[in-house]
Amino acid sequence: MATSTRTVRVFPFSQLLTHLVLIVGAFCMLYPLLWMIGSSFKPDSEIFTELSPIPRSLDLTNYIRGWVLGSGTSFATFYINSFVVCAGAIIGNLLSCSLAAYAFARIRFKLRGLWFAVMLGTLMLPFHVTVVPQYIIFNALGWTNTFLPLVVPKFFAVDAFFIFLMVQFIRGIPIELEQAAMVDGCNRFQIFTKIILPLLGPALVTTTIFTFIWTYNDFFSQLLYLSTEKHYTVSLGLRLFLDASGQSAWGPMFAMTTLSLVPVILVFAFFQRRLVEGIATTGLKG
Amino acid sequence: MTIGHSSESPAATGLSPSRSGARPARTRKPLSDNAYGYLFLAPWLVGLLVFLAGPTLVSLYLSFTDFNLLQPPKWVGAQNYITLFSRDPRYLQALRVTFTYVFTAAPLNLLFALLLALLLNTRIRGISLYRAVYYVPSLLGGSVAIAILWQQIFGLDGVVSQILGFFGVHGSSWVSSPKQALWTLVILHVWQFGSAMIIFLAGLKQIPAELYEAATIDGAGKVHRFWFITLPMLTPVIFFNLVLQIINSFQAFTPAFIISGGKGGPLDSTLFYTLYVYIQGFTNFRMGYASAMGWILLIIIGVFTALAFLSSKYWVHYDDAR
Amino acid sequence: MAKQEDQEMAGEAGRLTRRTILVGAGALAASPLLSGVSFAQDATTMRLSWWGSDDRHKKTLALIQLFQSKHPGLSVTPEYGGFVGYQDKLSTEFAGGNAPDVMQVADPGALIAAGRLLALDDYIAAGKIDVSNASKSVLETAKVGGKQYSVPWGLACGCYFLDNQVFEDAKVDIPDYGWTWDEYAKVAKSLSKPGFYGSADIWAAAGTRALAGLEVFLRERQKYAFTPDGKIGFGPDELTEWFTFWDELRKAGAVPPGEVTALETGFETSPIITGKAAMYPINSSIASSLQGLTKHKLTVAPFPTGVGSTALKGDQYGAFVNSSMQVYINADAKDKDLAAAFVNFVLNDPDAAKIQLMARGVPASSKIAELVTPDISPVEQSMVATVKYVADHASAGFVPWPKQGAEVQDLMQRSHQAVAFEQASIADTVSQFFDQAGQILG
Repeated sequence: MATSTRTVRVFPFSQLLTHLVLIVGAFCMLYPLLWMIGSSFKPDSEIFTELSPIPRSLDLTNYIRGWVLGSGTSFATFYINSFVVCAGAIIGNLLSCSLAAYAFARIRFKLRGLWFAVMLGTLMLPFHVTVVPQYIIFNALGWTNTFLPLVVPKFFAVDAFFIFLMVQFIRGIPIELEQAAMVDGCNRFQIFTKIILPLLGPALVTTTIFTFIWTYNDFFSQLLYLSTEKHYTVSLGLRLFLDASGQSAWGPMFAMTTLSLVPVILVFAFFQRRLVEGIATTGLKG
Repeated sequence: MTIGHSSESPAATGLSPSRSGARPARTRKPLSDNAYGYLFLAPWLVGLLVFLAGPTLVSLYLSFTDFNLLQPPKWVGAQNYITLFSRDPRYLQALRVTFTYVFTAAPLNLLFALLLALLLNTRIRGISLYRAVYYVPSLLGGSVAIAILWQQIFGLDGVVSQILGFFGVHGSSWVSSPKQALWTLVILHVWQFGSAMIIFLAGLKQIPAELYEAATIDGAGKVHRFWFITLPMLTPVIFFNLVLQIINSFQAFTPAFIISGGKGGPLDSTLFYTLYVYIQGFTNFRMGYASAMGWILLIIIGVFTALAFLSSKYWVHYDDAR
Repeated sequence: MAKQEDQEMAGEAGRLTRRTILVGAGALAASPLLSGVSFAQDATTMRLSWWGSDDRHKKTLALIQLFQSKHPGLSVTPEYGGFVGYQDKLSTEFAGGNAPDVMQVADPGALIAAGRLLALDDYIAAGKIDVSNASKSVLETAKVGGKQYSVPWGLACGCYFLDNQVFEDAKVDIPDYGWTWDEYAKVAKSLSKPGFYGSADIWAAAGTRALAGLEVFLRERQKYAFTPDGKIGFGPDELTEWFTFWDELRKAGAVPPGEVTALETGFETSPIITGKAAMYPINSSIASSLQGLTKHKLTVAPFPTGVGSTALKGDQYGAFVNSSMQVYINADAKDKDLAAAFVNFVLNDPDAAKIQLMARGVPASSKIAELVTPDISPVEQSMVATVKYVADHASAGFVPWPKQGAEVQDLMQRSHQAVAFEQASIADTVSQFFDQAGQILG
């Protein structure tokens, strides 16, 4: 129990206390999830009338009804589509944002301040006022009803959020490493690939996790650009069950929503391990 | 503003194949910082030019027009901006709601995220599980389940009412009362602190372990290590989270959209700024008016972000400071 | 397949050249935003777009199969999704000149005003769309400026859903279809007990029914929500009477206080489902979905009639039937004859009706409605009977909403809230309503 660590020495009692606090907190965090899982086993006639999270039986009907839609398309298609879009977005963001971030963080070039302000500025305009002109561009390129509008821009670092994130992390890397490499004759690209990228681990992992989750959960842009069912992603698939003006299938919606959390939790669990390892094991020469 | 310097971007792209294809030769004069800067920045510049600049400038133009999405825009000068401040009480309400939200939800969210990140940075058993669990609310973000759940917790017979009733506070249905509905959204935002927490965790992980070791050898205590190593080393990430919270909470949309059913009710008590932008632009077909609102928001966020950057000189510690 | 698209994606990314950049930058200048040009579509395809849930998607896809089998060589592209965001996507597609050929529209006012939807009168006159079996009064509700822009793809009416279990337990009789507002108030009061309300209020936080009840009430007084030239069609007296009626019920505990009503974010969280009320006003088209959410038996009743306790008939009967869903044709549709053929198909084809059943409300053609009635559930039969009763009694008059109609409805909803939450007196709320409505309607 008393696993002492390198960094913080923890006594068993305080560790117990930490566990206690964390467990109480965890319950508050998890309650909604439990409620949703519970609802996914209930028939529609009980979901809104009986609010206890515990279902009467583990009835899998909702899962079976939800997985294959009336059209014959199954959620398997939506999962594949979501993964394709997410993979594209992740690769795009990792490549393009890290390049831009390195420039902003380390290279003194003309108008750097201006471009940095412009980059942050792109985060500040509400999405809804630029979405129509953006749609017109993608429509003119013939990209509507393809994954391209959701992926290609990521290869051009349109998610300024991640550039800024990486800038902050790169600025936390001791500059002496770079100066030493320069003395050894490395050019900027070599420094970037051999020093910065390996040390940027935590930021790259964070970028991966966030890009995956945000792309996976994104609704409005996928709704706009994907029009036919074979292109639909999970987040669009989930909305196929709900119609505010008529018939809705709540049970299957909750079942598929529950299921849709599995990949997100897996991705998070897998990558957060990398977060633990991070720089601590990389070793630094001061 | 982008036009003037766009010529540098193709120039930089043009350099790319010839230079990076060649083997780095020591005899060759190395590229200047300027060239390297724009080379690294090239993808972003292209993206800015192709995907962002056009729509942004168009929305600026539209903010001076009457545009219903379906017919060509009609130039109206500054009329939209004048109407916003002189004849639109709902807009002023949206400003009130948003500022209240930003100044409460954002700091609380950051505080919780930082505390939990510190707590989850210890090496105790099941730490991965805890981290995942504390991130779960952020995963549920825009799900319909949240709306129903929030009613269950803050509704008439909800958990909160029952607990308060136990203490003699006989209250109401928080989530549907004009006086309290906004506070339930503040709580929702604080509850979804997962993203900021992850960024803090990543920041904590980047602090070189050697620093702690050296300090421990020097006999520094826990508190001392926190104040003189952890906190200063974490300031770039705290700063990042602060700026992001400012930007994101001014633009908060989804919570109000799902919990109020897209109307910002009851009685406009949760009429967030961007929700009102959406309602005017898409529900009421006044995209010109919505664009004007969007640009005012850009200015508001810009001012607050600039203030954050100005203040950062005094409290953010960078390792590359020269 | 996924892999192929992945490669296609990567390829496109790699090929992003200066030309693409120019296209991107130039696209805005050349866009329909400025010129109103639309892009040509292949003549042998037709894009059809609707919202719904799984049941409707399945039935509509089967409809498409049937339609294609009657038009060899035609390929219909189905584009469908849930309700949330549907109208936003449609607006964006129209703005981008990339809208479907045939579609459901939730809020057609602005599209019609901008001339983006096709008037069907020529096709009706030429016999390409046969409306002879459709109710004249319902067709009237889909006219704007004297032109027929859509045909109903299903009928509905504003109605009350009644929780029969509660009526039974309280030994209160289920009201007749011809009940008056006074009888309604009496029933609501007799079903109430502490923490339980006889009826849900006439507004809801997210609902779109804030004007529906008032319209019925106004028609009983020979008024309409709007005038033909797009102004408010009633005066402060009517609105005061209306607000007062509800305020008294609220104070008597017969309808819930504001904070309970505001809990409703959709019919799934309505008081009839959460066990807070026995009667619930909404559009009849949700019948089977609402029944699916509760184990209590539900039946449908029309809106109450009359002024006070006097039931009125004929021209003074207030309730009316409208289309629960309408089918529209894009004014820029490539093959308008084909689109018209599809509209005629959904309206008149018996086989199509057998597939659809009640997926979009009661079939608009009376002949077809009779044909499918045996195949439906009890609550749907109750819905059909109510719609038929209202159709038989309704007067013909109808004034279409102006394009800002939905915005005025939202304003009405906020006005109801101001009274319910006691933020303003009825007199102040009424005068503010007319001020702000005037501003919206210009």
